[in-house]
Amino acid sequence: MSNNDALEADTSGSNGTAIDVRGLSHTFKNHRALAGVSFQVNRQELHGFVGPNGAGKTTTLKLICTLLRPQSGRVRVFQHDVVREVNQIRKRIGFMPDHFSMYRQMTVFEYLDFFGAAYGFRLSERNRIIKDVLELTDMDGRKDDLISGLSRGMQQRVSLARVLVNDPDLLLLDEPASGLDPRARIELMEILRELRRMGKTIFISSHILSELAELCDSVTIIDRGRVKYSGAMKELLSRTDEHPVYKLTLGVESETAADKLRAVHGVTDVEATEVPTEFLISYDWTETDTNALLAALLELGMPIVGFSEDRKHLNQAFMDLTERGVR
Amino acid sequence: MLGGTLALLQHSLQLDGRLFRHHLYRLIFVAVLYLFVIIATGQSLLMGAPGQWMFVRIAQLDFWFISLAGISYFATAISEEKETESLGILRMAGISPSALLMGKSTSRMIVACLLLSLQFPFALLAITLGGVTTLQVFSVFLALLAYTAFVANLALFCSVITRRASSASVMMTVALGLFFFAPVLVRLLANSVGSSAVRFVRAVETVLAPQYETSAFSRLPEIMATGFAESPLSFQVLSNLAAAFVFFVFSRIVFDRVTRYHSVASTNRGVLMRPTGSLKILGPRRAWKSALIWKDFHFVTGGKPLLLLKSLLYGLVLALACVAGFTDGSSNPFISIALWSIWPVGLLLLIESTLMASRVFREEVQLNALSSLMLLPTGPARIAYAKVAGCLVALSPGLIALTAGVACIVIAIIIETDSQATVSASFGLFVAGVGVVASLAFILFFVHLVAYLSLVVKWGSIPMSIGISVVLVAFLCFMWPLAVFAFLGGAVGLHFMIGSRFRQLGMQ
Repeated sequence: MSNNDALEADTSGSNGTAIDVRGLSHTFKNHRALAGVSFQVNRQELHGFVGPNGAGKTTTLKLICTLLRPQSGRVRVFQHDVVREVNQIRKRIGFMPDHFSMYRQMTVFEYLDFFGAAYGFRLSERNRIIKDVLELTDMDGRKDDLISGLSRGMQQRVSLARVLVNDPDLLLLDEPASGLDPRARIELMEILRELRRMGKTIFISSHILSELAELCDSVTIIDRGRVKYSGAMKELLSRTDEHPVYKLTLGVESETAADKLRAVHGVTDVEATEVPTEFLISYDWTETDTNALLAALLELGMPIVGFSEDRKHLNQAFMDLTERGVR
Repeated sequence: MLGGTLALLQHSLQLDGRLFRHHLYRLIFVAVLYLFVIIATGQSLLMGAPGQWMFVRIAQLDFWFISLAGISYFATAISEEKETESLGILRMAGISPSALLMGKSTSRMIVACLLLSLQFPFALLAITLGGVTTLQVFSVFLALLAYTAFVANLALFCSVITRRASSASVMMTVALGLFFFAPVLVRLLANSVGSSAVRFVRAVETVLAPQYETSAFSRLPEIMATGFAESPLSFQVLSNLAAAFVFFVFSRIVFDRVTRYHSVASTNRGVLMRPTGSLKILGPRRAWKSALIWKDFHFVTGGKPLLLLKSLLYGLVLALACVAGFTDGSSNPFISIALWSIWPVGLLLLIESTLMASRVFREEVQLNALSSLMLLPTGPARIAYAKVAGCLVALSPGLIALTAGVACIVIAIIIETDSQATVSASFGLFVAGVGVVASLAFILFFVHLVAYLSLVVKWGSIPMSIGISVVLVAFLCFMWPLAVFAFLGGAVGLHFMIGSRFRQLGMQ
C-alpha cells in the first residue's frame, strides 16, 4: 500500500492514534451541535460512532474529514491538524457521506477512473487500483454498467470503492448500511472486516447497533452534542454495576426450577424470561466463581442445554446512556 | 375533488407567503413600477400625455413577466412533485389527477394574478396622467389575464409530460419561442425570397394570420394605439382562454399514462457513447490528467459528439458569412463577413454558455456530489476553475469562430485605414468594435449571473437572469459606457459570490 511508509513513520514517533478529538464545540446559528466532544480512535481499529438523530454525528464526521473548520477545540488526524494541514489529511482519508453522491451518468469504471485521476494517479496505477477495489467490493462484473442503473446496495459498493481509490489509511463512513437490505448489509460488513484485516482504520457512524457490536473494537456514544461513552466495545457491553448475569437454558419446563436456582449459594436473583425454559441468574462474584456456580447448577440435576454470560446488548447500553426524545 | 384542490391551493399559498424570495420579487416589481411613475412625472414637464408612455411600459413589463413565469414558475407545477417523488403520495392521499392539476396550477395562477393586481393603482394613475382611456386599461388587463391562463396551462402540460423541472422549462421556452419568433422568421424568410414569389409570401401570411391574432405580443400595441374603441373580449382573449382549456384537458388526459411510469432516475446518458458500443471512440474513454476538466467536458457539456456537431454548425455559419461577404459586391468584404459571423456566432455562444453556466455548478449540488469533490487534495477555487475549463473546451468551436469574426473586424479596419477611407466609415468600425466589447462585458456578466443563481435558486436560474438583465439593460442603455464598467464590475462581484457559495455548499 502506498501510504505504508508514511504510516510507519507516524507510528514510530507517536502514540498510534488515528483520530484525536479534544474539546470540540460547534454551533450552527442558534443550534449547538457539539459541546466539548473529546475522544480518540487508535490506528487499525474499527470504531463505532453511535448516537440518536441530531446528536452531532455527521457534524463530527465533517469536522474530522476537513469539510468543516472547528469553531473551538482541536481535531488531529494521524497527528495532522484539520485546520492547518488539510491536504495532508485529505490524501490519507476516504469519506463516504450518508447520502448517495454519485455521477449517475457515468459507468462504474468511469466513476472510479475519474477519482483516480483526480487524486493524481497515473494511468497504469489507476488500472491496478480500479481492478483491486472492484474485486474487493465484488463489482468487477458490473464495471461497464451505468451507476443510475444499479441497485442501492450496488451503488453503496461503488461508493465504498470510490472511497478506497486513493488507498486511504482512515475510512470515515457515515451510515453506510442505511437503506440496504439484510443481505447487502451483511456483505458490506464483510467488506469492512476485510478492510480492517488490511490494516485500515475505520470510523463508522451507524444506527444498526447489533452489527456494530459484533464488528467494532471500540465505540463512542454521543447524545445532544456530548460524548456519553468512549472506549472499548467489550468494556461497554460487559459493564455491570453490581453482579454478572448468566443465562441458563433448560431442556424441559419446570415449575420449581426458579426456586431451586435461588437456593444456590451466591445467586442473588433469578429472573424468568419470555421463554419458559430460560432464566437470567444474577450472581455475586465475591462469594464464589463461575465454575463453582456451574458445578452447583449441575448438582441440581436439571437438564441444562445452555449456560452463558448474558452480556449487556449495545441497544441496552445505548438506551441507558442516551436521553429520550428526538432532537 | 374540491377538497383535494383546496388543500393543495391552501398549501401552495401558505408556502408562497413564507418564501422570502416571492416577497422580494413583488418588491422589485413595485420598485420598477415606481420608477416608471417617476420617469412619467419627469416627462410630463416636457411632453403631454405621459400616462400612455407609463402604461405601455407597465404592459410590456407584464408581458415579459408572464412569459418568464411560464418558463420558470408555471413549468414546475407537476415536475417538482415528480422530482421530490411526492406525486405517488399525493395520489395515495386520495387526491384525484384533476384536483392535483387544478390545485397545483391554480395556486400559481393566483400568485401571478396577485402580482398583476399590484399595478392596478399605477394603471389608474396612468389614466390621470393622460393619454390612456379606461377601456384601454381594462382591455390590456383582460388580454394579459388571458395570456396568463394560456401560458400557465401550456406550462402545466409541459410539466406533466416531462420528467424534470429543467426539461419542462426548456420545453416551455422552445414552445413560447416557436409561438412568438418562428412566424417572424418565416415572414422574414418569405420576404427575402423577393417580389418574384408574391403569391408564396401571401400564402405564408394567410397561414400565419391566426398566430398574429392570438398573440398577446401583437395585441398589446393594437390596444395602446390612439383611438382604440374595440371590445375588450377580442379574438386574442377568447383564443388564449380556449387554448388554456385545451391544454388543461390534454394534461388531464395524459396525466395517468405519463406519470405512472415516470422515474426521475434516468438509465441513459443522452448523446454520450457507452464504452462498449461501436461508437466508443466518441465516448469519454479514460479520464484525463486534469480529471475535472474531463468530467465536465463530457458529462456537463455533452462531450465529443456535441463538440463535433457544434464545430460543423459554427463552420457552416462562417462559410455562409464568407459567401455573403464575397458576393455582396462591397469594396471591403471583411466588414460583411464580420457582420454576418459575429452576431449569429455571438448569439449561439451566448445560448451555449448560458446553458453550461446553469449546469456547471448546479449539477454537483443536485447530485449531492460536492462534498466528494471538496475532499480532493486541492482547493475549492481550483476545483471551480477546472470545471469552468471543462466548459471552455466545449465552447472552443464557438470561441474560435468568434475570434475569426473579430479578426475580420481588425482586417477591415486595417484595409479602411490603408485605403484612406472616410472618417465616418472608420468611426463606424470603431463603434462596432466598442459594441463587441460591450456585448462581451454583458455576456460575461450574464453568464456569471446564471451560474450564481443556479447555486441559489432551485429552478429557473436562466429565466431569472434574463429578467434581471432585461431590467438592468433597460436602465443602463442610456449610458452605455457606464454599462460596460457596470457589467464588468458586476461579473467580478458575482465571481467572488459564486466562490463563496460554492464553498458553503461544499460543506453541507
